[in-house]
Amino acid sequence: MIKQAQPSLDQRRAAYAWEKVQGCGGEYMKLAKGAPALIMNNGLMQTLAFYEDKGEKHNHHRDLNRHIIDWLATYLTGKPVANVPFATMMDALLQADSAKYRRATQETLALLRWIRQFAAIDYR
Amino acid sequence: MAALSSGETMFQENRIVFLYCISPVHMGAGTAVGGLIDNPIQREKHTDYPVMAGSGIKGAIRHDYWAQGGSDNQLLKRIFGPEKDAAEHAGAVSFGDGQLLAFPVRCAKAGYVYATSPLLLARLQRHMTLAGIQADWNIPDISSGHCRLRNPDLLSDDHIALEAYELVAQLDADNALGQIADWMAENGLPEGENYSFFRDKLKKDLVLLSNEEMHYFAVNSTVVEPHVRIDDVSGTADGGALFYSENLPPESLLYTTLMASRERYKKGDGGDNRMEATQIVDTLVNGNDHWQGLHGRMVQFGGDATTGRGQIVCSVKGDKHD
Repeated sequence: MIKQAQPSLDQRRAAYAWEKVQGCGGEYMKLAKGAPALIMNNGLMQTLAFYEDKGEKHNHHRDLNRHIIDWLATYLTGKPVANVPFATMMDALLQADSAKYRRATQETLALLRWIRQFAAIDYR
Repeated sequence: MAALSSGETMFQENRIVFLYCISPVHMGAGTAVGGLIDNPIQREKHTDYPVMAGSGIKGAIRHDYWAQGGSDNQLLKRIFGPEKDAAEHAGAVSFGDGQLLAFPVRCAKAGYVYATSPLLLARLQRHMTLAGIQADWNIPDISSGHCRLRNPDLLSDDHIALEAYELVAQLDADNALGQIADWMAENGLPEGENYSFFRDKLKKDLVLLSNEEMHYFAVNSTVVEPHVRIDDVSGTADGGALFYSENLPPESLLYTTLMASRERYKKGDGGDNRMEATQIVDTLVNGNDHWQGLHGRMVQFGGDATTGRGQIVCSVKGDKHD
């Protein structure tokens, strides 16, 4: 039996990213552009914590963190999740074994490929 | 390629050139589309490992020879091929792609360790065998989530922490990794007192990762640098010019093949006094009255030379360099 063709994981990342970046603005675009470098140089949890701290005052930090955390939660649980509290995601990552944490990092970077690309288009 | 006269193979001499990075190295892939980084380094398609294109290596070495001056531009042409009319004759040397052998990974207990994997070692061994150079060590198996190491000081209980990741570590009881580390330090790193610290460190702190974890670090643990434009008047960052550049980290170890043929000449020319392959390779590797040879020399590869990028020390392994 031929299975109903489904969009690939990468297509789903792209669809999610396109939806989320709508109207996010220039500051968001710049932040997204630098996000992979921040994660590669400092680590995923450090970066999320940094965005959470900055998000207190800056919408673009809050938004990007929200987009990453919700996608990660969806990726880790296998079902769509929204508005996952920062602390819940940190708990999950802190308790993850090394392989799972590595996969979460890779998944975040894969999502950010689309976010940084689409954010630039939307802002233009 | 022009037909070769009977009984003459394309290349008669083979060497392996180890490339030890002592600064970040940017061998650029050009502008990225849909990438993580605006200005990524070259990567091999089928493994995603960092690679240095043979053309870039050859160009950098040719330029180094040219920049050293000397008196004999004709010799450049004889060794590397004609500057303009490439169809006239081929050069006498060939460089393969620079492939990864060991990659530095952050480790709080040692600053960094040199990480390698069965795949990287097997590829080196294949090249060494083809070049007729002895490298008969055994490559241990290692599964994902595990690693093999020699230095017990790297351990926390039975684990090692690399960046934010913990791996189950097994000590190198049969010294299989140790033999590889010793070999690599003696052959791959530059000779002399100046590099003894790094040779010793490589011997102690070489860690064998699984291919999976090696892949992760080789893809995600490069040096990513933001670049901005400085406003001439204010002396501060000018908005809108921000981009990110990727570099191979310093302490990375790669290798390339160096092959040499008898000197080639333009069809119809006499072809008298051609240099033999051994002469060609000896001139390049050991130098002459005007040029310092490649062996032991620091050559600048890739982009951003004027900001200290691309400094690599070359060590040649093969005939007369054993």
